[in-house]
Amino acid sequence: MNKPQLKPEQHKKYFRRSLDLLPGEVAVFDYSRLTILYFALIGLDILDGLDSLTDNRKKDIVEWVYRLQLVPNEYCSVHKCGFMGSTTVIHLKNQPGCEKYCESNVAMTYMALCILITLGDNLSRVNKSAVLRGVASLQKSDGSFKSNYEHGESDLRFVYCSLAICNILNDSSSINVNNTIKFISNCLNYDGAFGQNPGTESHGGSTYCAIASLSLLNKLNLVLDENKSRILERWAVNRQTNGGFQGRPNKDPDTCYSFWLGATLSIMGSLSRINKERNRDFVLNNANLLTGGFSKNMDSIPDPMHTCLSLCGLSLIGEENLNPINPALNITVRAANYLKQIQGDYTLPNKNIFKADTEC
Amino acid sequence: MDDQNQEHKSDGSDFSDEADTLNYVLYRDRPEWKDVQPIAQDDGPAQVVQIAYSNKFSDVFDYFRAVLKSGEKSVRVLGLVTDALTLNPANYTVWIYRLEIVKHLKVDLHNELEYISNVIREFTKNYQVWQYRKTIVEMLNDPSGELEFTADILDMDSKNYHAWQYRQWVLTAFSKLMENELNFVDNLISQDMRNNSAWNQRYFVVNNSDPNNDVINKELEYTFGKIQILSKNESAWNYLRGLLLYSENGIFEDKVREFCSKLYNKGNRSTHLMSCLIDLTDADESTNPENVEKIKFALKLCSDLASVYDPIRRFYWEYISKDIELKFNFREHDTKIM
Repeated sequence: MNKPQLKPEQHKKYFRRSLDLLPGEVAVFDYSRLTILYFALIGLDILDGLDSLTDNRKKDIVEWVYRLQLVPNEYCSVHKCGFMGSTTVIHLKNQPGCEKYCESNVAMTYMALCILITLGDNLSRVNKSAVLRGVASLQKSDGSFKSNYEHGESDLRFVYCSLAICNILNDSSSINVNNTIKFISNCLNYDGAFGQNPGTESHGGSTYCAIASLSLLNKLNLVLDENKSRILERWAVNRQTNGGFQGRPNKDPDTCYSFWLGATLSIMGSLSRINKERNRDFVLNNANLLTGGFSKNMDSIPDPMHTCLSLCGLSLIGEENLNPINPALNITVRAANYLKQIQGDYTLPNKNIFKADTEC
Repeated sequence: MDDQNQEHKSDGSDFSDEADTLNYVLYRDRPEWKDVQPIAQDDGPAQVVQIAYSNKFSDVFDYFRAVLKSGEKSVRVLGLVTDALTLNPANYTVWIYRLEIVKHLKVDLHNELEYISNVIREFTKNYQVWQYRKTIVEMLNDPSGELEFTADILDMDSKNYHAWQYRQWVLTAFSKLMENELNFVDNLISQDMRNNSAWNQRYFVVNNSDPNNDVINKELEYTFGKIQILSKNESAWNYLRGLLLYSENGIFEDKVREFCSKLYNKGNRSTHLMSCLIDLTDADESTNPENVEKIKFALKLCSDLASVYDPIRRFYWEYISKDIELKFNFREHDTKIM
């Protein structure tokens, strides 16, 4: 049998279609369209396909993202600041009495910043101090973070997004880092991997969130001593089954875990322990050669998330013609280098916000 | 994180049921809504990740936008919000507004619990529906039906992460419910010994009971029993190793080592058994013959795993092999991996 081959042009087309118009069946993403934008642009960047977007198109996307930013004013307290995931309730921006229904979400803020960096925006119009204060207001006493201010749920996903935002904005002074680390440690299970919350089952996605978070804080060794690293490494390596990776023991493999587990092992410096060839075959065999895009397994249709994360997984194991990614931030190395460059020019124009305890 | 984006149930009611669609009247055609001016989604000048919404979807959300702005909290808005949540249960804002209406109208919370039960049955892997249920149960301060409800959902998919996470919250918030949890877990493990979620729940229960050595010994025996039936089951082996975290002065290690050796000597070559034996190598750096044998045995296990029993992880076992040599400063060996 011939080895499967990556068809970059088809996947670029798939992403460009997703950037324009999506079918009504995905209306459940109406409130989080930014996630689709994120997967499409990061994916395009990995494929080295951002040049296929015109400068005007890139500018339009940047403007669309900035419209989702909530900044502090008399109608929006600083707790709600950051980015919304869509335009669903954007009409409430600056509406008296509507603050409760118009708020940012920390996963959307993380993705918005990644999109802007990827498109070469220097974040000068991000109200950085307000975003950081918004993130801080989501932290709970156990160290975890909520997704959003009003009744948001909390788990390792939002810990990761919060820390990624602090890392991108180069300032973690507004959050309680020690409590965050305690929470992450409390999610470590008897089998050596991490669950979404203390006590819940170990999972490839939450394990990535834990390891990437600790790596962004430069505190990997604080939580994982040599013995614990070894057990986690074994748990992660054991997730490879039938070539691909599963998210939990005794579950079926799914392309996205080639990223979640691949990136975990990459951050730990242990990616060489897996069988890259079989992982590659599994992922490439889930590419749809008619429409472009990748699905989670043979029984599913492609979606932007699995397409992007499949490419991320392939990039990690050194697939030719794919740009390398930064596994902790999940943007390309090119974008991460650009981030380093603009971080030197950050200023904090609204410093007084940190002192204001009352709502604006 | 993965579950969030892939496992929302697509909106069947909007597309599949022709008859429903025929009888359904759009809000803009309902006389009792004539007083409300719908508000279209404002996407700005550029079209980015646009969704080709159905007429029904746009109509419901145009009216939802209007009532959000006016702040109307009425029975008819509760109906509108119910429609909006059927179309998109992943919209946080609609849930927040629903809660406000429920509080404002003093809706019977038991009815609301029944409503959210039905929604969860349809969208079992959506985060917001479980979060809303938690809020309602907190307001009721009555968890009496929660274990039964989550058991029902787990009956549909015994590895549903959301249901397990919620169940743990119930057991933690209302701790007297923990009494029968081990029986529940036992049942699930008996039905499917590979159910890793059930093994995790077992650890959760045991760990929360502040177990003494007798309890751990009982758990070891239980796990040995399950492994003897299905020795390739990683979940049971992970649990076994988890129990060793309670071991002080090596008291449980000896027992596990003895169990593993017996199984191995009977000819069992489960990769997890071999891996566990490697972990339990009780060698040191000395060069007496007995010690050298122990190290050689561990290296042989690595070699057999890499070449015969677990070749997909060949590179891993080669690395572990080198690690053992390094750890015990072992040089004069002849058990090299081919």
